[in-house]
Amino acid sequence: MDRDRIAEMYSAWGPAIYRRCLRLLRDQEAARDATQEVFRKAISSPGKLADPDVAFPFIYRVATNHCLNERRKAGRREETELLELDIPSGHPEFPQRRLVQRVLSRFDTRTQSIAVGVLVDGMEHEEVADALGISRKTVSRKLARFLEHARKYLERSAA
Amino acid sequence: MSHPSDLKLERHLFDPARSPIAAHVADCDRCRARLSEMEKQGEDFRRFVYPATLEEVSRRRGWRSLRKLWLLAPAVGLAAVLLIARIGPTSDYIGTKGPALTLTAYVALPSGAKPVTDGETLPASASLRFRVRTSQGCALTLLSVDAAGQVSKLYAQEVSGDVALPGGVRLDGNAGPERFYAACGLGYDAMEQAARRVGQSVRQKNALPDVDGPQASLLIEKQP
Repeated sequence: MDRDRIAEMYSAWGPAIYRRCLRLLRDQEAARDATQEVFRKAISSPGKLADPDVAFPFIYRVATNHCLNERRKAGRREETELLELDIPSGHPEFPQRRLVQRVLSRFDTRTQSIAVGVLVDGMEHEEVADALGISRKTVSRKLARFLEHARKYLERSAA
Repeated sequence: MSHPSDLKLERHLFDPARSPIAAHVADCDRCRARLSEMEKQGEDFRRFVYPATLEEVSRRRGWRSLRKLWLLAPAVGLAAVLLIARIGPTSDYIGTKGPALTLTAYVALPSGAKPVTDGETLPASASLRFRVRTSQGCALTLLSVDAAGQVSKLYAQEVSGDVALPGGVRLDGNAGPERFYAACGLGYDAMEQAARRVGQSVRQKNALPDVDGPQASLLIEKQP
């Protein structure tokens, strides 16, 4: 792919990637670096960027997985500036969302993506399933397991 | 009340006319505020992230695709030897001398792209592309300064000869003058400092102060 075409695609899809990374990483520098990496991954499948109906969930999936990995790596390095997700405290599901915040990094990337999609982004199970390319049943099952383990984790922490 | 996810808002931003959530957004302060924030982040990407990272994004792919070319190394070595033997102009060479760096901008209009003349009035949200011409290899930095003295980094890359810079720049939609400064070999930090000294005098200062190397500039007037 020539440079002009890459530049054109970066201009078209970069803003959506950057916004997703900024939302999950909450740091402009980290989001900038992540945007480059996510775009490089995305453009290795240029066919998926040709149709917006396919491109948006594809970008969402690649960016979410990448940024959650970055958060996990930052957690390992004890770089706490990336650890706080943007979860509004006034939201009716706030207690449940706080579980996400506390225990997210203890789960695999797919479960993290599901938990973030439902509990942080406020997406319906079906939308998360479409975006991640998995079944709705898998979303429900993994989310239930995540919440169960998260509650146990918090109970142990409180004891 | 449930609100559309960011993913749905992204699709809405992409094509509002076909958006299934347009009616909700029209009546929802929270969603409009989120859309406004997303638009601002998109603008930040276009003004700051895109120009600063495009070269890296493009170059890395180039390296990967070139990895397989290592088999050609012996042929490249032979070509290098032959070229070294031919360095320097031949006895019948006639050189030309002109400005060491020229900068041309093209604006995308419904009627097609056209070159921008210095001081020309353009739509405040117009899209521009740039071409530079250098007499020799140049570590180019291109930035802009607007009426408020705000500096925006647009490009930083190695160029040589006549080069169309990749991608484009979308103007910020604000009325007033904006001047684009290009310079060779200065480095972004030094150039930004020089640009900050321009301040709000973009109409008057057609060259960055205290810059010795090749440089060029172009003024536009943005009109809403």
